[in-house]
Amino acid sequence: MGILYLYLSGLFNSIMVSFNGQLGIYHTMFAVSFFVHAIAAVILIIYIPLVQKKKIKITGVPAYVYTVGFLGVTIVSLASWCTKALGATAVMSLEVVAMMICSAVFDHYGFFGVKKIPFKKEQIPAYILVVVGIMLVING
Amino acid sequence: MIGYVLVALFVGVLSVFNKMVNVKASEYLGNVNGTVINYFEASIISLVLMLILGHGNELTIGYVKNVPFYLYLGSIAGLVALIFLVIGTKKTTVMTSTIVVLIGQLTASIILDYIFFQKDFSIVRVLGIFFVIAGMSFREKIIKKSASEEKIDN
Repeated sequence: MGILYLYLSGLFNSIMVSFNGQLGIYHTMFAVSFFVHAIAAVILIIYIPLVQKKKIKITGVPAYVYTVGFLGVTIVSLASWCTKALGATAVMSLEVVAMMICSAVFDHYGFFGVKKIPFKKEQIPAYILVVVGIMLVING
Repeated sequence: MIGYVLVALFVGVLSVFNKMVNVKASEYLGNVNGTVINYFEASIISLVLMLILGHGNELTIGYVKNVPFYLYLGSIAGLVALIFLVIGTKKTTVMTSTIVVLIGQLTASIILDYIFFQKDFSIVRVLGIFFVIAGMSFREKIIKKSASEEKIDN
């Protein structure tokens, strides 16, 4: 079930990127970011009390959680800055490689309280297969 | 050039951190409520940067009226994507979530390119997705094998 959620997350994410790309024809980068985040914030502010019948809560989390909005805006702006110089394909390829290595490190050490999955050299061919596949899709 | 390459790699690292911080927020506040901090904070930061850069005119009704309304709906897709990402990541490993989300993104990009940009349906790209799925399944198999070997050893 978790896999299905993740797959759908990827599908919806691509739809968002496609819409935002077209929105970027009319708005500057931070305006796109503002509308994308503010519309979702308004939906949440209506949805949580009316549909979920719950109070909106933003306190009682570790301090680093409050960096999440800053991280989001930083990712969007830096990716956009790099794309202008390197092109979308190169940026996505580099991001994927970094994400794979970073995910392997998180799983290996159990960062953020995740279950530890020790990295073993036997896994390398599997990662190579994944990276080759991603590169075929990006460049194909 | 090397500077851009390093920044692009850094963006990949930040993306994984961002995902895990969202997962943490959801553990404390719930799957939907956990995303409020992200959207609320990012709205304010974007608004401030937009105003500092002198693009405040883009908020006026006159300006927004000239933009096709449906383009603003990408936000809803983004919200659904984030909530599903948080739910899914809590049920799997960090690597699995990274790869499966990529498979979803890549599949959608092939379909969207075909529908909206009339790009040819590339067999190479479809083959690429099968490579990714094969690699991920192979990795899961190795992890399960290692776990069962460790159990026997213990």
